[in-house]
Amino acid sequence: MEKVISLIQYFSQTSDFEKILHPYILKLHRVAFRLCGSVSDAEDLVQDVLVKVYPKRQTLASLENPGPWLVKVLYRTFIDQRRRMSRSPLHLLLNSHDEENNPVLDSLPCSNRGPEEISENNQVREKLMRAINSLNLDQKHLCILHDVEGYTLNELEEILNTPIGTLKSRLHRARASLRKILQHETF
Amino acid sequence: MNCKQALEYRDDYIDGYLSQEEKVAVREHLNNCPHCHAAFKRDEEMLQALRALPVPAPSPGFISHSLQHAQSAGRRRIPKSLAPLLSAAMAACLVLWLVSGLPRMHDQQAQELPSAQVIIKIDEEKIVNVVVNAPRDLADAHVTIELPEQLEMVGFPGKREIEWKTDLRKGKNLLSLPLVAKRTGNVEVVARIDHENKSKLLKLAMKIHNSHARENLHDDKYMV
Repeated sequence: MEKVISLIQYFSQTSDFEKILHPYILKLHRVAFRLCGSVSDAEDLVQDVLVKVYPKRQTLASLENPGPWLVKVLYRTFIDQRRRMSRSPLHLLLNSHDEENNPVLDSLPCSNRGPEEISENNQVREKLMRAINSLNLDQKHLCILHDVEGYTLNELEEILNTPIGTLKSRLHRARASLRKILQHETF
Repeated sequence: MNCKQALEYRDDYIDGYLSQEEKVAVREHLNNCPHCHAAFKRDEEMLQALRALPVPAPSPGFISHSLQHAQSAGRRRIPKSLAPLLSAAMAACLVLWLVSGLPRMHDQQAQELPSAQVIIKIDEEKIVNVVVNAPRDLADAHVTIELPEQLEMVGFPGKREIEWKTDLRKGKNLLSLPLVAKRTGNVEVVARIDHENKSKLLKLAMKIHNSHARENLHDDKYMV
């Protein structure tokens, strides 16, 4: 009987896991894509995060707003993976992308706008991405999470584990660089 | 408020971090200063453009697949991007299972396992996949690959020994070794995994043919 009860508890926890996580997966995928730059790597990262948080589903269930907590786990996982990859010779194989494939540009949504307008938008987006990629890593990640994904500095203080004053000055410098790089662009 | 003060507030203003009082002061300045007004407007446009950067949707079924995977695998994991590699490996490469696992070893000496043979052509790039079945998480495991002079690992020309540290997860961990043959011969690739004074040694026999030799495919898991 105890076994039956524990099985029921197990399945109830797993279904809770799905219920709690489901609304956040697309958001996690968005952030993962911004950080990784490809859909496949983003999916791997999100999958790793879900596997990582599964044993912590009770903690997850107790959170009022699990979003920032999940993004924090995702960001830490991303940073850990980057460090591990940089130590491993296998990253060359696992990260081998065709340089001509620009996942950001490939992913532009279809629309009914004319080819000229689409082309102009693509160029602006490409320049924005280049500008973001020209920032140092700390600035780039902050810019992605704050300016692109819209997390507040208060949330990012927790997500990035960095004091808000440091984040403010980092954001200030990142914006100054972006303004300089994009000074002649029309958005 | 003058232009210098207003521009100092520009980031906080567009991000909405100013107090009501500060916001009103900035707005008053902007109403009277076309130069600052244009600069702030441009900032807002830049921010809007950043927020509008597109994101592609994940693969169909990704959400349900990833949730199911997390639940069934728990802490075990094989990255999704490696799944096709693993399937390909079944058809084209030799897959070795180190089934006994590191903690079962009783001594500190390297243990030699039975070997199997992979056939590769000259100048052919072949991914040899080694599946390490770890019975528990093994942090900072030391992996060493020793290559004969007839073989190279892609990206590491001329290197006979390649080593790195990695974390092995409980369950199946896939090491994909992209090898390319430079000369013919019967050779041996040695993979060693060290963790906390315990060591597992795998010797992998490889036969390097000239380019006309017929490739011998292995499609079964090799249990050792």
